[in-house]
Amino acid sequence: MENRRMHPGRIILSLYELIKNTAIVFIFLFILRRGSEAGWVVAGRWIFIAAITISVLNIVLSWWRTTYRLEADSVQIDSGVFSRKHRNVPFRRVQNVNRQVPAVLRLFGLTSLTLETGADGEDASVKFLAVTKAEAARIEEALDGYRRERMEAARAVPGAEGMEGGASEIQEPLPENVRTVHFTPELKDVLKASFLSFSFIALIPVLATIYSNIDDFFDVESQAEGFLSFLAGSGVVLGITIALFAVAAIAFGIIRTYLKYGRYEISSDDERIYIRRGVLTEQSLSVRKKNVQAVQITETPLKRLLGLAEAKLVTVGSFEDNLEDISSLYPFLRKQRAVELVGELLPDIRVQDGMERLPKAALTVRMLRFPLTAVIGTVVLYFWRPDFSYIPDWPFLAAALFAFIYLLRYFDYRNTRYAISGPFVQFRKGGLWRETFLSKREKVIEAAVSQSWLQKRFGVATVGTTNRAKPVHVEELKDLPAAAAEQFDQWYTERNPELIRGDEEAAPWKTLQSES
Amino acid sequence: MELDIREPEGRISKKAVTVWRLSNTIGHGITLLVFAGLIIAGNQFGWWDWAMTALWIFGGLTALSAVYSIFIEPVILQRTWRYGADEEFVKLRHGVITVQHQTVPMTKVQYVGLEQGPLQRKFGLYTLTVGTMGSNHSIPALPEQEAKEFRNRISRLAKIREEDE
Repeated sequence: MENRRMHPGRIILSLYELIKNTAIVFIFLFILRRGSEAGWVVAGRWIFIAAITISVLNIVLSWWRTTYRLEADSVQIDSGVFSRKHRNVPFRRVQNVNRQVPAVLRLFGLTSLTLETGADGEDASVKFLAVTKAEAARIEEALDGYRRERMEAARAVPGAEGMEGGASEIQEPLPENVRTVHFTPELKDVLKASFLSFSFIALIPVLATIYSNIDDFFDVESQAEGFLSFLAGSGVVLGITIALFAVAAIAFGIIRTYLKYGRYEISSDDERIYIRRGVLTEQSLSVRKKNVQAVQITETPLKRLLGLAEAKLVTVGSFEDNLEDISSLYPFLRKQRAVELVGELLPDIRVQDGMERLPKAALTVRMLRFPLTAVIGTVVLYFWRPDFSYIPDWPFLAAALFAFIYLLRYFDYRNTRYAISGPFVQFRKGGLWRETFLSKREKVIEAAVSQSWLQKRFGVATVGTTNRAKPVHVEELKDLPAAAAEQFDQWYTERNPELIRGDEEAAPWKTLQSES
Repeated sequence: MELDIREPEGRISKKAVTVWRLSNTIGHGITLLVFAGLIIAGNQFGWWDWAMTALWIFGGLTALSAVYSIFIEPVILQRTWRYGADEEFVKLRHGVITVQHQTVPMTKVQYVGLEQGPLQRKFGLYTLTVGTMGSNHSIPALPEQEAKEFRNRISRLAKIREEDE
């Protein structure tokens, strides 16, 4: 296979970003101070021109000097203008594939493609920042082709791959690429989303940013003062301003939410889940179903009132910063629908309804635990003694804090549920925010059971699971009955029944004895 | 009600008590010296009263925790530590006030390592570290012979499985 470069659109994308980042300096030096002959302004202009020239050269050269080559089982990347760097990324390390299409690239019919590996640091992902759609498809095909071959090879040698997926996978027909669309939002979903996400509040930081940027160059403050006194002078003007601001904020919120969640699509085929979102900047992600380690369903207090929930996939491999929240399935679904969606996407995971409640003893233990937060809060209040009008004295605040903490503990007790059955483990917990966690035994990479002195007195214990993710996902459920904790330990050690031969099951626990 | 979980049988060396006592004495000794120094300096230069009160409180707490972690904790910790490995799992159990049972599947073990600090070297002990994809667990204070056998055993058992994606 030949060496290829990214599409020249890469240069345009970089130039666009350069312009975006330097525009304010340019405006300042060449427009606001255009008449100025002051030494520092003139020097600044020359430095600016030099820096831009070097940046542009660097952008062109680094595009020219970056090449990649697709091999049968890996991708090779050479980069670096002066010091060359060679990277070899085997396909078997690639965990997730995602695409992000900024508006600039869309104008040229291009896309960007990122292959995520499980590795740490800057080499965690391979980015094709600007490629044609056909080229992106070619890269994904190379990846899929490699996977198919490997599955065929695994089929030829029975048992070679059966470690995680179990024997059933080997008999399955090869995945066909039939995609089913599971969800696209309607207009009412977007409206609901824009109110629930409080995105209209986001207008405030945006205004603040604009203000502080302008304020660097103009003396806004003194003008604003005049404006404010004008406002305060007339109730009508003030009212209209507030109304205008509210309308602007809501419109802004709806537009912003629409841009993010407006064109949302969740689809899947036999092997992968695809999530696509974004109107101007398109982001898409594909996750192998086998890589989904656990599912988390979150209900914020507001969502609980409205019967909504957010389901999130815990997967192997990390995402880039602005993609972190993409692994959640549309965050404003009715709870029932969210649960159904999980079932549709992951047929081998089932959200259970019948979960156990905690015993009464758990409530006693929780009430007896030392209320560290409340005590620290009280100490802080004692020394600080906030003195504002309308705010009660510190003893009242401290009492309220204690009441709140104990109320939360009670709610948490009431909300907590667990289920350990078949290959599944499911926890639900949280006082105001409610969170349900669901995983399968073979996806849990570590199990822990612990019992504190207090828990021992009341016959309860804590269980915990660790799942692969980046960073690892640790889940803990406190104060379930000791018998259930024992059952949990039992459940986990029977993790791979097909690997335990009959004679070994009966054999005593083998260890090395220390005599010293 | 104590948990009825089948626990592994491997115990750590009795010399661990001495090693922990020594290292905790050194650690807490230094902290207490620092507090003593600060209190003396405070008296000398007349620091604020609340600062002196805080110093005395935290110094006192450190002294109490020193008594616990030098005289009491090492004995119980050594007595309650258990470790073991079968074909399927590495199992650990430890803890004084809170008892922890940990189960790590062999397939998830990524590396095993031995470590020896200066104090441990004096007593011929090793710390064995079992690392998985997301965490690592240490078994403190194993005699050389056991440490090496256990390491080899885990690396052998963990290698039987093929590489896990």
